[in-house]
Amino acid sequence: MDNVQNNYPRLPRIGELAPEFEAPTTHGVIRLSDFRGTWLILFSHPADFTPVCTTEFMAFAEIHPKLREMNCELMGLSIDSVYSHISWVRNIEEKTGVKIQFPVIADLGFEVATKYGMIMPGESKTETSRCVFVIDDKGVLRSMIYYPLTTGRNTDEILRLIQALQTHEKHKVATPANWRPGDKVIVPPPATQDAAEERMADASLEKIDWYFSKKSL
Amino acid sequence: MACTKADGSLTQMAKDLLLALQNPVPLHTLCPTLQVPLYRIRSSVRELQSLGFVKEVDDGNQYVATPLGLEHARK
Repeated sequence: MDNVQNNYPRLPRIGELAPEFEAPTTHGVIRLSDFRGTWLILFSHPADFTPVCTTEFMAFAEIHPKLREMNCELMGLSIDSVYSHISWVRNIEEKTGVKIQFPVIADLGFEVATKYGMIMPGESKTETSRCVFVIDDKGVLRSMIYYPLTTGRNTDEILRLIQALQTHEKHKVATPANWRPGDKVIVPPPATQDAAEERMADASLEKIDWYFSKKSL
Repeated sequence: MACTKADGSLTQMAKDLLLALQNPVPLHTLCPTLQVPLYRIRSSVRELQSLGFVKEVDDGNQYVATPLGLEHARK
């Protein structure tokens, strides 16, 4: 067994409180608990001043206004200094006109990266992989996405994910594959025989079968 | 430190925040006034509190600028 694998703590788990931290960022020292009351997308990138990461920052900046309308904030992270972060976001604005308005954690001590399992030693022992953690307004981890160093993420999907999670929160429904706002949602399946009978008799729903029903919101 | 400049003086955002805290208020009420997200207000208030410029009242439900904080905000 590779000893390196034994030195890395378990990944955080969906449905549990996201691990608390306090970290230096480009917006000063921030705690995770500072975001209570808003949703948060905490995401990591391998390194500043690298091309794929730059495209991702620009893409995150593009969805940032829409996220804010949804009471959702963004925060990035890499194992670079705050000075590197500042220099890089200024460079992005200078070269592309895109202003980065979310904080970026300078995790030189690997503290947050370790708590969140952002290091994939098979890829790199010194850079975080492309991880995304969706944390709700109560501090609970709701979803995780892990992408390799080689492949930029799809921010449309991340935005869709927030829309789907918030739709679940508001309406207590599930969302089917490839769901978009406006599409029908899935009604939670009945958990008893009586409920299944009632479900089949419910004419207001689109039913494939007793366990598979959709409705419009 | 996000609230202080290299020469030790307060940033404009810190001054605006202190002036908005002349009377005790819950922090979330400052967001529309200051046009700053809540996480940033919380982070900044914590820093200003460490400098003695802000104190919490009502068991942490509200915050208010101290006389020292207001003095620095008006410089």
